Amino acid sequence: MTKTVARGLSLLLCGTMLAAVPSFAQDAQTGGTLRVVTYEPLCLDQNEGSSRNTQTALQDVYDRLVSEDLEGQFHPWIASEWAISDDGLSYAFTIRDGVLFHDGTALDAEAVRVNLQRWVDDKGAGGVPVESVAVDGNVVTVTLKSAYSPLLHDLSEPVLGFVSPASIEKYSKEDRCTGGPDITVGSGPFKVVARTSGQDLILERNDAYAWAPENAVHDGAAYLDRVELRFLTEDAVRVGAVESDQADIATGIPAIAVEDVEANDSLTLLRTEQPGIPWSFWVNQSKPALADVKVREALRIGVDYPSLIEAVFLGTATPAYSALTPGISFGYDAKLEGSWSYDPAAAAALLDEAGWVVGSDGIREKDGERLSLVSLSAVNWNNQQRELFAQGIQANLQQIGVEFTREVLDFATVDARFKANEYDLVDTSQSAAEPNLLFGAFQSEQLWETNTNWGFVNDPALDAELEAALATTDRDERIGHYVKAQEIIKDNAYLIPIANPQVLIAVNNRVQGVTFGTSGQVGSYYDVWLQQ
Amino acid sequence: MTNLSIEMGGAGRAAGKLRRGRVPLGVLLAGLILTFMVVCALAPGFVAPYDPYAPDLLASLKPPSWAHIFGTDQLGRDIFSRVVHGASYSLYIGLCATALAVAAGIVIGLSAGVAGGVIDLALMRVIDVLLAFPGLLMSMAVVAFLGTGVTNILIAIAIASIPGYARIVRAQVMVVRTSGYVEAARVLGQPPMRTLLRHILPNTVGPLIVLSTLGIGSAILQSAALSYLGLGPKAPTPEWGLMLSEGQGYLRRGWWVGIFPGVFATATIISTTVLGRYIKALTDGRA
Repeated sequence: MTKTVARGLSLLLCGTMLAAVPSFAQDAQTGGTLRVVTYEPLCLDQNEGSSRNTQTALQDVYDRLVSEDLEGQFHPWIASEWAISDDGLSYAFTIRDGVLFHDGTALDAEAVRVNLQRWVDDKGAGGVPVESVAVDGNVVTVTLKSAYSPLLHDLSEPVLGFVSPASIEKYSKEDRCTGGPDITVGSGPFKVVARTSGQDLILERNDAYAWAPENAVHDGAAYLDRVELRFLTEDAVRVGAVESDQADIATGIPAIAVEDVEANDSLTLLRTEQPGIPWSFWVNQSKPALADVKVREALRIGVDYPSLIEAVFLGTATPAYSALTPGISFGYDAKLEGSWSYDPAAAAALLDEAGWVVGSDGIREKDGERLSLVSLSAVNWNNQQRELFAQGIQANLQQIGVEFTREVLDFATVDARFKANEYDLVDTSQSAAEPNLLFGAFQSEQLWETNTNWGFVNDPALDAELEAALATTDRDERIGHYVKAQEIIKDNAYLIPIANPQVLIAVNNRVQGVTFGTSGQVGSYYDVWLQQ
Repeated sequence: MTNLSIEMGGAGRAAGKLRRGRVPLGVLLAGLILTFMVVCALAPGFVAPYDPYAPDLLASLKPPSWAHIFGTDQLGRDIFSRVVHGASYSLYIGLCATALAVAAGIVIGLSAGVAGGVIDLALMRVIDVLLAFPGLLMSMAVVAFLGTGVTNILIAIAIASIPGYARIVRAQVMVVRTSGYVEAARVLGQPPMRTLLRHILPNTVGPLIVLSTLGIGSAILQSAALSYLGLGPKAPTPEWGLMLSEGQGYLRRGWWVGIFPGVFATATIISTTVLGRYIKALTDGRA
C-alpha cells in the first residue's frame, strides 16, 4: 500500500512539475513574492501550542535535527550524522558547524540541547520516554528509558524546530506565541519580517542559509524573495483569493470548490491522502451503552457512510475501514477495506439483542434509559462538510432508533467536557506520518490528561502490540504489529472510522516545486520558485 | 417608528382607494401569501410532499423538477418540504416576539407616561440607552447571554424591540392624558386606576396594535438573521435563515439550496409589511 501512495504522490508531483523536471535545478528562477492564503497558526512558538496549520506557516522559519522524506527515510539536516546504540536507548547526533540563527547567534550543540530539554520539561517530550539530553563537544546525546523507534520521526516534525535560546530567554511565553520580527527567531531559509496577529505573517529570504536538508532539491539560499502568509478562515474567501489571482496558493479547498478550481486554466489542484487516523468516532466505553460491542457495531453498520461520503465529500474522501488512513507512511492494512457494509436491519437486530427496545417516541430504551448519544467536536476540527455529514448520520441513526446529536464547541469547552467525561462520542481526525499515532489514541494509559484515548480503550492485547511496535526499529516487524493492532481495533469496534480525508490545495501554475510534507501539510517553500 | 412621517403620504392614497371599495392588488397578493404561510405553519404536513428531515442520497443536489419543485439539497432532502416546515418557526418567532415586546412596551410606556416625574425620567433614559443600540446587535448580545435556540432568540428579538414600543406608548399617553375625556373622568371623581384602564389605555393601544403589524415583518427578518449567524435553532431544523446559511456555499453548484428559503423569507416579510401599512392607512383614513 505504501507503494501505491508513493506512486500517487509522484504522479501528483509530476503533474505540477512536469515541464520543469528534466532540467529542474537550472531552470529554477530566483526572486518574487509568494502569496499564500491559509489558516492562522495556533502559536508561533510551537512548543507552546501547535497544529498542522502551524506547521505550514512555520516550517521554513525553524530547522530540525533530521529531515524525513515521503518514503519515511531520514536525511541529515542540522545533525550531519547520528548513531543509534544497539539497544536502541541512546541516540548521538553530531551537530553541523556554522549554523546561525536569524539573530546571529550560533545554532550549536548547546542550543539543540536547550531546545530538546524545553520539549522534555514543558511537553513531557510528547510521550517519548526521554531519560536525559546531554552535550559533549558538538555531539548531543538523547538517552531513552525504553526503546522508542519513532524518535527520528518525532525529531523531524516541524513542531521540534529550533528556536534561538536568546529569544526564549528574552521574551515571555505570550510574546513568543504572538510572535514577530526579533521574537520569532529560527535558523530556517526564511525569517519573519512582519507579523499582524489575526491577519498575516510576512517572511523574507535568509541569505545566509547554507544548511538545507540533504533531501532538498537545491542548496544555499531559497529561491523566493518573500513569502506572504495571509490568514483567512472562510473557505469561500480563500478560494476566491486564489481564483482572482490575489494569492498564489490556497490551502483547505472545500469539496464544493474542487470542480471550479479544476476548471480554472491558471490553477492546479494538488491533493494527497491525509496520513494518520481517519475522520472517526472515538466511542466512550466508560458509558454503559457503549461498553457493549453490539451497540458499537450497530453504529458502524447502521449508517450509510459510503453514500454520505459520495454526496457530501464529492470525491474528496474515501470510506474508511481501518484506524489508519491509506496515506500513512507505512503499516496501513488494506485487507480491512470493505469489512462491513450498510445494513440497517442487522443494526436494528444487534440493538434488539443488546436489550435496547424501541420506545414510544421511536428511540430505543433499556432500563428506563434512552439510547441518546452526544458526539463532541471542537470548532477547529470541524468544517461545513462534516456538519452536513452529521445531519445524514443523525437521520440514519434515527431510523434504527438511536438519537444522535453533534455538538461543536470551542476548544476550551470541549476540553472541560472531556475532563468531566461528559460525552459519548468524539469525532475528529488526526494527522501524522507515523503509525505510532495509534499508541496515543488507544493505549490504555493514554487518557485525555496526556493523550487522546477518548474511548477509555483498555485492551491488554492491543497494548502489547502497540508497545512491541515501539520496541523494535525493524520496519517489517513494526508493520506486523500495527496490522494486528488495526485488526483488534476493527474486531472490537473501538473506533468507528468514517472517512479518509484528502488534503486539497489550489496552486497558481506559475508556482513551481510545491510538494506535500510528511503529515499532509503544504511542504517547505524552500525549493519553491516562481516562473516570471 | 422613525418612518412614521414617510408613511403618511401613502396613507391618504390607500384610504382613498378603500373608499372606492377596492382593495389594491398588492395587498390582495400579500394577503394570499400570508394565508399560504399560515397554512404552512399550522399544517405543514398538508402542504409538504416529503419528510423535511429524510435524506435521499440518490437524489442529492437535484435541480428543481416536477418531483422536487424546489430541488433537493446535498443530502437529497426536498427543499420545498423544508421551506414549508420552516414557516412555523418564522411566524411563531415573529408573532410571539412582537406580542411580548408590545406587552412590555405598554407596561413601561404607561407607567412612565402616567407616573411622570422621576419615574418617567428614569425609565425614558434607560429606554434611550437601549434605543442607541442597533436592534440586531442588541438581540445578539441577549442571545450571547441566554444561549442559542428558538425560545431564546424569540426573547432576544422581543427585548430589542421593547424600547420603540415603550416610546410610542408614552408619547400617546402624554397626548391622551390632557384630553377632554380624561379631564372629565377625573373631574367626575373616577379613581385613577379606573381612568387609566378605561380611558387612557384603550386610546393608547389602538395605534400601537396597528404599528405592531409592521413590527412582525422586522421581527421575522431578525429571526432569520440570527439563525443565519448560527444563533438560532440547530441543524437539521428547517429554519429559513439556517437553510440560507447552509445554502450559501452551494450557490455555484446548486443555487436552489439557498435561494428558495430566502425567497420565502422575503415574501413573508414584504407581505406582512404591505398588509401592516394597509391596515395603518385604513385606520388613519378613518381617524
